[in-house]
Amino acid sequence: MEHRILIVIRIVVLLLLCSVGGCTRGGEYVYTAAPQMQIRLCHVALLPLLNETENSTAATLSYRTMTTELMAVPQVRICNPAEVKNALRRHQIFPSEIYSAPSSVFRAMAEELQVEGYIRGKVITFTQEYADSTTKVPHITLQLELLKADGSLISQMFYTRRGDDYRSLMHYGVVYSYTELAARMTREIIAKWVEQGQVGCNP
Amino acid sequence: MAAVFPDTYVRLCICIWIAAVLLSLPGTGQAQERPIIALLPVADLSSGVALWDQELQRTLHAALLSGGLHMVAPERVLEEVRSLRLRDLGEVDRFSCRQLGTRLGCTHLLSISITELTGAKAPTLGLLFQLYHAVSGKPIWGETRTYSAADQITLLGLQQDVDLARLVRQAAEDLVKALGNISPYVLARAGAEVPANYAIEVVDCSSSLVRCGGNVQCRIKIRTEDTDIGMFRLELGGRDFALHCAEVNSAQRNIYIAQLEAPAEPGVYPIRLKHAAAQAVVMYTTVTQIEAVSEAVHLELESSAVADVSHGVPMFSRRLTLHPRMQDKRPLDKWIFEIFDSQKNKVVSQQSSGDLPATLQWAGIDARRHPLASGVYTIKLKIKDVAGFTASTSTEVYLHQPREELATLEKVHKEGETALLLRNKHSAGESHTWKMYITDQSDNELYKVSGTTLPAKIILPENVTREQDLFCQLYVQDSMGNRYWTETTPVGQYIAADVEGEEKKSKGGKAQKLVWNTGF
Repeated sequence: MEHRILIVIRIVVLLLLCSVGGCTRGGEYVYTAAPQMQIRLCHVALLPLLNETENSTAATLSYRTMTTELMAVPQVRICNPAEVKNALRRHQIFPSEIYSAPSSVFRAMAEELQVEGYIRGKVITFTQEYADSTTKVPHITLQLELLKADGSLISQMFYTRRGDDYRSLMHYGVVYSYTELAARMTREIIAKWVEQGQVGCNP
Repeated sequence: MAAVFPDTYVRLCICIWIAAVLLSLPGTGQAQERPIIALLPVADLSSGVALWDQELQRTLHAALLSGGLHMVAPERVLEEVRSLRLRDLGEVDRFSCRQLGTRLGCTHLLSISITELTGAKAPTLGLLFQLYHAVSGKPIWGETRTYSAADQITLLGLQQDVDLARLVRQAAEDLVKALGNISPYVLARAGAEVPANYAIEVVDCSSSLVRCGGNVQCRIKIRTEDTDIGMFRLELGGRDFALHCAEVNSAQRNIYIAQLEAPAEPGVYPIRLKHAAAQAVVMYTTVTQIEAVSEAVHLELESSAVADVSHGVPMFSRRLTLHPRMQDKRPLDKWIFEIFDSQKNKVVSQQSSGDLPATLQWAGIDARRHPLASGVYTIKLKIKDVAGFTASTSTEVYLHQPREELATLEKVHKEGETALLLRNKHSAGESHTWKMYITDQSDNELYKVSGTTLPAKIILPENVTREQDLFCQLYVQDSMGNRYWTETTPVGQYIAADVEGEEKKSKGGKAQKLVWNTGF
């Protein structure tokens, strides 16, 4: 008899627990995922660009223009470019080896240069092309990568522009110089990175 | 009193907050340092019109002075740049910025690079302006400016009279305006950060891989104005090592040497330059890193040979591709690649310094490019890493030599003589011993001839040439002892066999192919 009473008590307790659990659950089960931590770089170093064009000055001109534009925008703090080259030389990384440098070197350089990441890139195209029968305009193609401090990839982009891409009305707006085109491209690329939340400094 | 106290407290807090906000605003609560700018010599990247860099320098300096900016005299800038042996002034490192700032007594350095400069009909000028904080050496402002005659086209399409001098004047005006628009906050930015009183130019260690407890020598080139080298030491694995001066340079670029001892435990260790300044502040700069190892790396050799049950070892024909693999990638001092035949004779040997190639290939030939006979070969690879550890691996493969064409053979009649003309496919001068058997249709030996060098032509005796059906078989042994022979091949205009062994009628006088069979 006592045994039966014990079973009944157990069933009642179980039902009570189930009903309490049902109340707390509140119907449909919803799982809220924690927002993914996105990396946003503020202090960056621009690594020397690789020249994959036939123009010997393409990488230098693009690199200097890009550093100047990166100095100009408030959303990024660019590391002194001469310091980047010194660090690469000390670690015995030639410009051609930037794409194969080990992660440990990237980490050591980031610590030394006090940067949170790198911009690495190649100049693919650097030519003058005919916009019409008489006018030549520059054409630049860049392949750029945004890297973390350990050299791992955050994002990459392939960016190509011609001087006449900026034509507004008739002959107005056309860009005739490599420097101006490289500068505009850099501004657009940074704007894209800022918009995507990959680059930006806290005010 | 109790009601007044919170009100007073809130007012006090508000006053403190307003004061803090006012003090934090640039140019309000603190005295602003008036910028003193040193205009660095213009860096010309354009390889364009000569001497315009100096003209640009003069015009910009005059414009900045007349714009009310406090400038350092250009002669003084030039003098210090020369004394510090600074070359590329389009990019100035932090140490050089600090040196120039201290010597010139300036707060900022303005670097200008010409990127494009063309004259004549369509002048174009591309300029990069970069402003560095002289104390911290950090870049704080930059601007790209381009001027082109093509941009001066009016609405009617008529080009104004534009020359390079006018573009330079316009650039100077724009620079003055741009510098005037830089906020005091930007000018003062990063000013509190002081870089190290030295700059490391080059680090060269004898090896990046060293045995645990082994020695490594590092040469380091330091730029510093500190005369006491005792304040500099190299640190590796928690131990300090003294630097000894190897070369003193007049422009504060000295070369120092240190003998370091690698830690006893394997691992990757940074080598850091330790600088104990006078104020007992110790600064560390990682200059390079080394890996300490205690044992040899495991080496494997993967081949493209396919499994073959009949010979018990993997088999290949024509070309063998080998992929050497190390458990951990290590810099190598040298490597040796050797191939031995079944008699333990070395048939291939190659060695080289430095790292292993990604693939090694063997076409079944010996060092003199002679084809080797089919058989089992042992391939050995030995490596020695830069720490002195050696490792080796070996693998066995069966070389199956395909039937290769040895020569073409044809019967020729010339000036009353009948000859077998042998067009040898091997290069001249190779030493062979050879034998040739001429038989009839019933396999009776009609003629036998031998020699030490394979001839190009064998003249047959008259009694042999009278036979209608001639068959030829050739045996060759090369200087390595490899033996080859051809199939019994018909010669002449009656019966011929092609390479595949299929019997066919052939036209008279056609050359027949003699095909190698190889083996021991």
